Amino acid sequence: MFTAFTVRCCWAVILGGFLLPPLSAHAQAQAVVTGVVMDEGSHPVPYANVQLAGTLLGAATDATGHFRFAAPVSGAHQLHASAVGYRRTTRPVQLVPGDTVRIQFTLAVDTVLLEEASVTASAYTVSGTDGTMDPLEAVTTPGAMGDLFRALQSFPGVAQVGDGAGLYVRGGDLSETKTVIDQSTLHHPYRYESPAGGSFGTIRPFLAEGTTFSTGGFSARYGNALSGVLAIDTKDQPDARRFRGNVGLAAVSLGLDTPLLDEQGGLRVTGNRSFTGFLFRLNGQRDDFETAPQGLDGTLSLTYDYEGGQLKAFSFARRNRMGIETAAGAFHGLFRSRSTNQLHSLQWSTRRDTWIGRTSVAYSRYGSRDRFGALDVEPVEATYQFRSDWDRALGSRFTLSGGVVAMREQSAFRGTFPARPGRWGEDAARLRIDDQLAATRTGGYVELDTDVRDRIRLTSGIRADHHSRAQETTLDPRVAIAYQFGEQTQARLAWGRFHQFPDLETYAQHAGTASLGAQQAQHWTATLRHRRGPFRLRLAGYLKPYRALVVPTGDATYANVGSGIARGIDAFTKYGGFLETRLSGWLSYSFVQSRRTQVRQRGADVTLERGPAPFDLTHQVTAVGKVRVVDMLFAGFTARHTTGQPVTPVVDALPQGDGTYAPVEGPVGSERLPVYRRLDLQLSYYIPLGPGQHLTVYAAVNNALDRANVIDVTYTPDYRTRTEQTTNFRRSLYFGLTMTL
Amino acid sequence: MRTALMIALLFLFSTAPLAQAQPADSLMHHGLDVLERGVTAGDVDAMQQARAAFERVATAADDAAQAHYYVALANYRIATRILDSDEDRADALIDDGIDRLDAAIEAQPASAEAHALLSTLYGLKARGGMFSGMRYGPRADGAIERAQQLAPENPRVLLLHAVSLLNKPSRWGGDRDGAIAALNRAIQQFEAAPPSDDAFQPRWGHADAYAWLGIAHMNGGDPAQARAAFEQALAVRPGYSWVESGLLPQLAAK
Repeated sequence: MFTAFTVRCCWAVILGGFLLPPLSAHAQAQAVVTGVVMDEGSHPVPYANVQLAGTLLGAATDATGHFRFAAPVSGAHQLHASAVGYRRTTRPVQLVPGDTVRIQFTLAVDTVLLEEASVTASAYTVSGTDGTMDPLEAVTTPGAMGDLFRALQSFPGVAQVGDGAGLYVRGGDLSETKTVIDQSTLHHPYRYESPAGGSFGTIRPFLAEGTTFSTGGFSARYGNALSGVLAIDTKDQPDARRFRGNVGLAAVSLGLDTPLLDEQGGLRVTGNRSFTGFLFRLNGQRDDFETAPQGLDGTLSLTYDYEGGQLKAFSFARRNRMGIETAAGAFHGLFRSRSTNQLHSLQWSTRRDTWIGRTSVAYSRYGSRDRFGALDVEPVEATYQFRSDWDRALGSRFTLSGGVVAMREQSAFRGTFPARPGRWGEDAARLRIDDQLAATRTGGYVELDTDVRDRIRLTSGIRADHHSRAQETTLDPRVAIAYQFGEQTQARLAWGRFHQFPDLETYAQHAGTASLGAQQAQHWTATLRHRRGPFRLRLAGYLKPYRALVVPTGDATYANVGSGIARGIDAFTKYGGFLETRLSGWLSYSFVQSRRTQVRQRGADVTLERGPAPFDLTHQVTAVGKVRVVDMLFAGFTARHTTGQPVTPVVDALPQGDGTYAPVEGPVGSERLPVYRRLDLQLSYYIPLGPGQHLTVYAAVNNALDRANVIDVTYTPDYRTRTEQTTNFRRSLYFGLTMTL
Repeated sequence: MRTALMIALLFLFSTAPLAQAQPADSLMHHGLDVLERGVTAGDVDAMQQARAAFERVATAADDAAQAHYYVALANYRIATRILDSDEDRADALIDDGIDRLDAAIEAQPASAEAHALLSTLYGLKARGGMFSGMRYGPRADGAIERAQQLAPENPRVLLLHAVSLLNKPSRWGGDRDGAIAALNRAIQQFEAAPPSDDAFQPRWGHADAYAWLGIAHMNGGDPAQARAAFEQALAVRPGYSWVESGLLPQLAAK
């Protein structure tokens, strides 16, 4: 009866009997996980997903926010809770078979923590953060003249000095804000450069997929910038073929976007010819120009997507020229400038497991010839850059970032400079320079972003930079902590140390023996953000002490002996968005006090003195409004009121014996220009032509009230008579049309 | 041989709690069943439960593309159901659905199903009027074009293209006749589609095609054709709440 097979079966059953009971017991005595998921207002979150990390074990909450599930595992585990519209939250749990673990989750509304005054731009993304501006918002901002930099000037913390497009961030100089494109620094981001920056930014808004504008307390990711960073990511590959055209009073442009290689690749190409002569003639403002500003530029972007990454090649080249009658101090003359600017970069983006990396190499070159009296210079700058940034999520609470940068700058300076500050005349003493310089900057950073508790996020990082010409290594720790009050309010405190090395032009002009080192600033910032429906509100206060600033100390000598302090308050409120709400707009207010060491000329002598910086514009209020009037007709305005710019008056003049005079200046920044006010209007009509195709006709009146805003003062050669120099941007009409097919 | 059989039996017994017949698949099946029932009954709670099941798979599984697709599908079903009553939540679900489909497409770029559903979600984002249409319309068009390139005869691609043609304003390319033609073609394809070996291959849409065909006829002033289509929808999916309690009474009220 008992065959061998039966015996084996019995053994199997017996063996199974030994093995199965513990497993069965284990299955019967599972740990039970139960609890509730609430929002920050203590309301239940129905249908949230609660799940043991790395397993399928979990449950959805019911309509009352409660959940319960059995877990046939034991020991320490992580329990996630997530729901649409909320930030995922993780809690540790210790599971013991037979026990019941009770957990309460409080989910915070999903918010994105951004840098100070972040401007997140993407043509189709509404990030929901305050200070959001996409390219469409930028080009439809009246007075911005379709320029991203000018649109950014309507934000708080950015002083608009005179008529320029320069970004003077929180009491800092123009050179203290860096522009980065696809990881590569663009050293000359302005067109038609002037002391106030330039007339426009180099990068056109619709080339940008995403833009982050950081006005303080920014990440260790960015170095060699004392005040701000404008980081622009150019667009990725297009999803459809599109032709774009624009014809306006001052420019004609064409563009083509097309997918390539069965949509694995993409091409974007643009060409633009700008000519302001007709615009100025039409508006009766041609007189000052010997050559009206004009230029030619083009961009080319090629992308290739492969499994796990993307390669992107981006090139832009620009050529500009202009000539204008202008004045500096007592000298009146013709300023002529022509320049070429180009940037070529290759970027590799990849995702490997939990790592996300971006690495780029770039070459940029800027060359110009500027002539004005004794000034006749032909600088050429070439830069080779390598940069690699990597991010890795470590669990659900930590993100580790790190990266390196290496930059080789080569500059050739040839020409003549005035030997004495402020002495521009054709017959003024000149300093001849024919010099070539090179410097290498290398740097690296590590940053850890930590979700400390459900409401608290801590970001801490450190970066180091070395500059071969300064022969100095700097170390910059930075830390920021953010706290989420309820669903709609966030507070953030940040502190950091920031260094910036002098540019090569300063090294070239420096004839002294002492080396010039890095300049330093500290940022202390406190920010409060609140959002409610379509409203955004942001309040920020900051304190920024400077030290080791490079200032002129005599004839062709400089030293790190300057210091300064900037403090201020930024307030910003925004309602809606263009094309999102019928009415939209924002109101920004900046209060700033910026004092720093400056040169005071007393005849032949030069002394250093601390006083209000030229960009110390105490109060600046900007209001921007846009409205859909009827059907697809849009109207908008930008109104701006800014405290007058500080100027250093000339109180006397000393004859030099050769028929010229040397100015004797009063206290630096002791007088101010009159208040700057301006109103810009814009009207546009949008005509859809079909899916993805449209025609927009637009007209703008800039400086509609025709105010003769004063932007500088000039003097007669003997300094006895002072004249206020008024804006070149009096009331002017501009119109044109753009078409996308 | 018998020893091997015994060892296999023993192994089967001893590993039963671990195997659980491939729990990810089991959870997916559960989610699909619950979603099916929820959609038929118009039961948002059931759809939410199904969504949660898909999300658990999407979070834990190595190959999560299909789970992401079904989370997005559940989001679409829920969002269309609550659009009028809770627009904010519907918007959040649509946004989440778009993210899910982006993830699915990143893993499987040639998934026509994912591109087509993505187009529909963009279409829902564009529903807010001209402003939203200008923002999201081109994206919706791009996604459905991509889906058509990948699988022009896929019945859900045809269905969702038709839905897009029906919902778009004519100046953006809306075309009711074109939609009817696409829906009829979709119905043909649904009826001709051979059974798939892959249990998780999308199968939904047959009754929806009839329902949308009915809507097209109803909006075109042809109540008889509309009723016939709605009845066909109920024949394919008996008790389909959307048709039974929503569209048919709406037709009767006209």
